[in-house]
Amino acid sequence: MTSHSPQTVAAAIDIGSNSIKMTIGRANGAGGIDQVDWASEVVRLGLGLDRTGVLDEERIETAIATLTRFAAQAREQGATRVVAVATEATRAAANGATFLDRARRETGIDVRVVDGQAEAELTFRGLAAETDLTGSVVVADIGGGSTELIAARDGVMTSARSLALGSGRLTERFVVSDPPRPDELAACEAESSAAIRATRPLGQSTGTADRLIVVGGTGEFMARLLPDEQHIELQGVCLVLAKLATLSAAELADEIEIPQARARVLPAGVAIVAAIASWLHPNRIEISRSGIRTGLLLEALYGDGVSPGHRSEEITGAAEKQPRKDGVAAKTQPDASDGSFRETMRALIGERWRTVLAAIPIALVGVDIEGVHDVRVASRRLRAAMDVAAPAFPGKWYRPLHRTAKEITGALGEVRDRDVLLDALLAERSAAPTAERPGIDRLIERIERERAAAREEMERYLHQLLDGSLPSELERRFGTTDAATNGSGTPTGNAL
Amino acid sequence: MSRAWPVDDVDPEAPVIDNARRVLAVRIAEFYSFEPVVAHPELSVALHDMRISAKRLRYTLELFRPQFGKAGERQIERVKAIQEALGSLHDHDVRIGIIGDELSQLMVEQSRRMRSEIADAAPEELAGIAAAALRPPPDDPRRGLIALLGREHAGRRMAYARFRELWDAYAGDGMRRDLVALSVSPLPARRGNARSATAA
Repeated sequence: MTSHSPQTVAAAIDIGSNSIKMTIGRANGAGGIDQVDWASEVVRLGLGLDRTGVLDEERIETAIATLTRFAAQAREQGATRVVAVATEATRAAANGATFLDRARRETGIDVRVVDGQAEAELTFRGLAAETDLTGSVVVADIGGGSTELIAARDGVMTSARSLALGSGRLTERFVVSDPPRPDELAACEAESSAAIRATRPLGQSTGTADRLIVVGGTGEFMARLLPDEQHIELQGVCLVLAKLATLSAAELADEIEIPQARARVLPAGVAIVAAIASWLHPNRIEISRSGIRTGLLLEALYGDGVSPGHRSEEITGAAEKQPRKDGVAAKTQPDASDGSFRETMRALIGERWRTVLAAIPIALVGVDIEGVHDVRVASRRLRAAMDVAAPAFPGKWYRPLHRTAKEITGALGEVRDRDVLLDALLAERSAAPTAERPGIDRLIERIERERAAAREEMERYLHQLLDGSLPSELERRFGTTDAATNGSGTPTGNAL
Repeated sequence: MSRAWPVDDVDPEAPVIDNARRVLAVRIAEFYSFEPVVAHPELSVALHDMRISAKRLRYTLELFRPQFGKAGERQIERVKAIQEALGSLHDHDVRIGIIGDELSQLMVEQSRRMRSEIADAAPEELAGIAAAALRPPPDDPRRGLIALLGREHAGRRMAYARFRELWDAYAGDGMRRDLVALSVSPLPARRGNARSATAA
């Protein structure tokens, strides 16, 4: 683990669908962060996105102005590094890349778009640094455009899911009145429940989590409406929801001291909390203020334990800032403006390999069947990119990794197929008449045996992969310190 | 599983958008090469290959998201919906195969056991063995497997109907035309207006 001196101050900015928030902090020498300053602005960057598919020009202007102010504030506080991430609104918008280009050009801040998985990992890292995560925990990070759900056991993240559910998004779809009508809030809750049921996130079932920890503004502001923040139960959340149907945005803003624009979307956020809590029935619900920005600061100040592809930037003034030429690793999608097809694909394939490698440990834990699925999906996406890019690279340099990508998908297929089948059979069994159960049980036993054997095989293969030369080969070919290239990032063709 | 159609004219030095269009054109052609099997629910293997092809098409659209923009998003949704409908059909096919195999195996085991019992039986026991074989007890495992198999076949019929409904609806909406439009480079703007050019 590399770390900066305790004097190093960094700023972490989170560009969400509702708000842009910044936390400035320094390493406290004990693995944590001492907060120096913070700032928050309700920008509603995601406003109208579901309808139009693009970020509104006026919202972009406001966001750029906010980032400019934040950069100045960070410099005033002595921050020498700024790390910034953008989440659902920017990743979903067709003009997200344009917004990021402007941010880089005009504010000097190089914003990384993170996918749901990376967002969850950063959030979890931030939370784990400041919260005891013993036992079975589900973390819900409710944003304006998406909700990240993370399952963990005894401090180890076992799976994560990003749902297209957000307080801003639901407000736009269902909430017309001010105060919101009870039926509008019921629609928000029903939509959330349906999304949770449809995706069956985390492979989690009712009653299996001891604690639900809600991070982000929704949890923090909801707690201000509760008599006791330390003892929150589902009933309390439902009472808050009922109360929110009686308060206009202006009244709510006044009561809990938040901007009116933020108050407007809070009821939908609380409806999401209610849906998650109804699904999980946790023993208790907690609120935490640590989240993605703490995770970002830890990453910046202590090392890159979360997202190997991430690099932070030194702060410079907008005028002296040059657009980075090597910044492809900061994006999750290829972009025509990055230059040639080969270079863009090289960066993209590197990112996709990292996603595969990051997902493998969760699949190996084996608690959540979605862990195996996640590796398979990530490997398929990797293969899609590698199939397309094959003609752009020398075969000797490229083919072995291409083959490995295919092997990974195959190695997990046998387990995944049986996981899905077992899931279906268990559901069949519980609905079947008693007379049908012996036959179903016989089949379940067979599939369980096959699954155990397939899993053993899969684990052997994945361990072999992680312990072998693959990680270093990937670093050489796609990493930032690429010894196998001729300096411009172009493979020389004899790297093997 | 059918192999992906190769894309021969990728130019590593060209801008991403040019190559994105070339790859997409091949993936669209590959996907629509399966059109003749759409009307044949019995062609399980070909429908599965079509699903894989849909997946390749979808991943290509997702890979070049920034290049295809909003128009690409709509196509991703459509291709994903078709891929999932075909996926559901395939899941039923896999389960039908597995349950059918298990049922066959069970019946072979039962038959073998019965033959062994008959071989060892005293003459007065034969009638009882025959009765048990012809009237299985309520907890005979075949019952559950036969019921499962029936439900899977019914589910498959529904899954195919859903796929056809989706396919026909998207075809009516011009899905192929819209996909092809994404893969074609925009023509350079013409000088003057079309009417005067025609008149000339």
